[in-house]
Amino acid sequence: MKISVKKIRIVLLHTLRLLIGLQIIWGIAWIVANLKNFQNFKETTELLAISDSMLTDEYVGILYPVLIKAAVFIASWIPIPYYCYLYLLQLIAGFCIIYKLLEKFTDRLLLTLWIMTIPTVIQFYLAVLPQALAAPILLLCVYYCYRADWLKGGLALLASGLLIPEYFLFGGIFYVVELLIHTVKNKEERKKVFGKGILVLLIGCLIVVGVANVTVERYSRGRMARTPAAMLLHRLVWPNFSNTSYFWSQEVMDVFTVDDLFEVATYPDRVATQFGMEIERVYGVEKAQGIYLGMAGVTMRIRTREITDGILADFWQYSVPMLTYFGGTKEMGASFAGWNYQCMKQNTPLLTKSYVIYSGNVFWIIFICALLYGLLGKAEKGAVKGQAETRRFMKRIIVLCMIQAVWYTMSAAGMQDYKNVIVISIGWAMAAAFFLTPAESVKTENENCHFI
Amino acid sequence: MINDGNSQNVGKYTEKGLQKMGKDWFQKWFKGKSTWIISVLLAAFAVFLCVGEQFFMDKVAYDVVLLGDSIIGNVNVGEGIAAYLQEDLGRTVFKGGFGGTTAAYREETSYPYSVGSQLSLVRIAEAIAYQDFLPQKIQMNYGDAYKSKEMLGYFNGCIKDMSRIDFHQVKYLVIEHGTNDYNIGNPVDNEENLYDTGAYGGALRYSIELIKEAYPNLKIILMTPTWCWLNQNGEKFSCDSIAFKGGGLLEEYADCAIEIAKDYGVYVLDNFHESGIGPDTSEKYLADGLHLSPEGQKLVADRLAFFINEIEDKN
Repeated sequence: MKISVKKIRIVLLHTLRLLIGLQIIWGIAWIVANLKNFQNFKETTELLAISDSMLTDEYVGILYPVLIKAAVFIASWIPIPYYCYLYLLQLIAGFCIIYKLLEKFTDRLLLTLWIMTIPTVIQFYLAVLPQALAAPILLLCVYYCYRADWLKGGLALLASGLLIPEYFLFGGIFYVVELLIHTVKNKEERKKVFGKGILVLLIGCLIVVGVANVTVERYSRGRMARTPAAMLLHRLVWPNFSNTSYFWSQEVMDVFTVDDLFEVATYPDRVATQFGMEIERVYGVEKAQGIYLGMAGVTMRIRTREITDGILADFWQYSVPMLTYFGGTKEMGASFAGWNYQCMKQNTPLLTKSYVIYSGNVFWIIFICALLYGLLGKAEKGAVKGQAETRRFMKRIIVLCMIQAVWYTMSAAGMQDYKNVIVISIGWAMAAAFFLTPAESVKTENENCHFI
Repeated sequence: MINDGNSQNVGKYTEKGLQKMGKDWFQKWFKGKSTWIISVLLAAFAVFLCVGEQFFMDKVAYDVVLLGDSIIGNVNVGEGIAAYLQEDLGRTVFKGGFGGTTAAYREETSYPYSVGSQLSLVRIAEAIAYQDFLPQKIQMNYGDAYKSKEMLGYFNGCIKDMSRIDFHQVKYLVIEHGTNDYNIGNPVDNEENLYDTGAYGGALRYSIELIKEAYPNLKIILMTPTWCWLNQNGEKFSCDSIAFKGGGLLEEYADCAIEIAKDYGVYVLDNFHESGIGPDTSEKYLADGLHLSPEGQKLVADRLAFFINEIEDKN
């Protein structure tokens, strides 16, 4: 039995090696073919505009437009398209960070390249969008906070938050919780640990407030104020703006006709750009919050089933982006996946099609094989404990993924978009890598079968 | 050499000896590489599972495929140009029109949640050429889920059916676009960039080249849009008298299609100038000024059938 389990594990390892290797080759081919191409995302147009004006709102971070400006400046000296510099920055930063995150994992290089070449990840390394840079930096923040390195954790938190504002919240939760954990655990230097952590956090907050004062102006991008009530409005009320209008307050009906509300209900972004803007212009931000909450409450009461189904569907898709988008590349999901895929394949349609079909489907085969490999390893005598530190880190990654899935699910209806959850795609891949990592205390013949 | 059947005593170069040598060598070789061999087979199987469906999907053959807008698409079962054409020709005809769609694909009016953008001729031509309808399928799901007003009931099924067509076996691809490009005010053409897919002419050129490259034996027929009149604020305007912002008169779109057909050596059926549908006959052939009545559909179908038969006679 012991020999056959060992043999099975070796076979699994070799199979994974081949499948992952094939994906890496395909992914590198895709990168090389698209390094000088441009994906036409709507958000990119907005980022370019912000890089000119240096004025943003609560929805978009200022750091990426600054990077765009820098890239444009460099491109004026060295005539390569400015976005190529951004791609290179994103690829190098992403590679280094993921390689760092996998330091306790086996076969770091191969698994780093594998994670980088997952389609829902790689697409955004070659896009003028902040997600590909912000996601690994956020993971780095969690990593450093876990290791009580408050300065580096704080820097990563600051960088990721300035790229994508809600990342302040995600990273901040981990920062504060880890600080408290380490403060409690560290009996000898409790004050020192807490003091250092709080100091870094305070300085970070000051920097954020200072930057926001200079660069953030509400309504500058034509969107409503970003508040919890606005999120609930977007999540619970859209697309029922017109067909539930009978229940709206007079304040709403004084501003909008049923036809206007029908227009808002047509496209999800009109909640922020039309409905919210107008309500806040007429009634002010504070009163508007009460109106939004009223509408959200009414709609939730009347359309509970429909809303719940929508929330669960979006949460499922966010939690398992590689399954619900690619799912055998079947036509699943009510999301922006079609648009994203169209952008991805625009310049190299045949290569992208084959790459996405293979990589999307093989992800789950790799995951299951890795899981099997890990479980069989546990069954082997001697391979019991170990990887404790890695396991604890992975738990934090899982919590981060859940926070992201909940946040993006609840922030809007009709705008499910896998580029918001690159962290979750990376998280799933890191879980597979975790299963492949043998216990530190175990030395079996399998250890000789490393990838590289 | 003793040959008593005992394997110990089998000679080196006898038949049995050679067989035993070969078997030993193979066993020794296999023992060292068995895990790799099994792994390669498993990996190959996994790759097949991942990509195999693309090669073994059931494909359907049609003789004629019609692409277009509501003139082709918005009809009842058993009616419409496709159905009448099928009767006339006695061949299989696929109705691939999507109401409200244009030939051109304009970046500035396309959004992740807009259904129509993925159904423009430009995008459909790409899907046909690369046999990749995934963006359209996902977009139809989106439209269905959120009851998009751009979405009509037949879109989802039509895209799924179109994705199963074996275009290598299709003989004629008929493209009928222009009315919505005119209505929306898409530019007729872009003199500075003939492949600007945001203009009607550029969209036609781009689509024709894509499809011709993918299916060199497929015969393309451009069908110019039919004459129409429009209702604006309760007043009737003919398509000869009003041009919408950025665009031209409907006749300009028709003329553009004719020019492009000549340039590319593809067939053109000029319904705008030669079908007989005009101001005097609009009552008979147009149901609402824009869409064809059953008589109008029959007229166009008969013309197309005659046209196709003429092509075949000449060839």
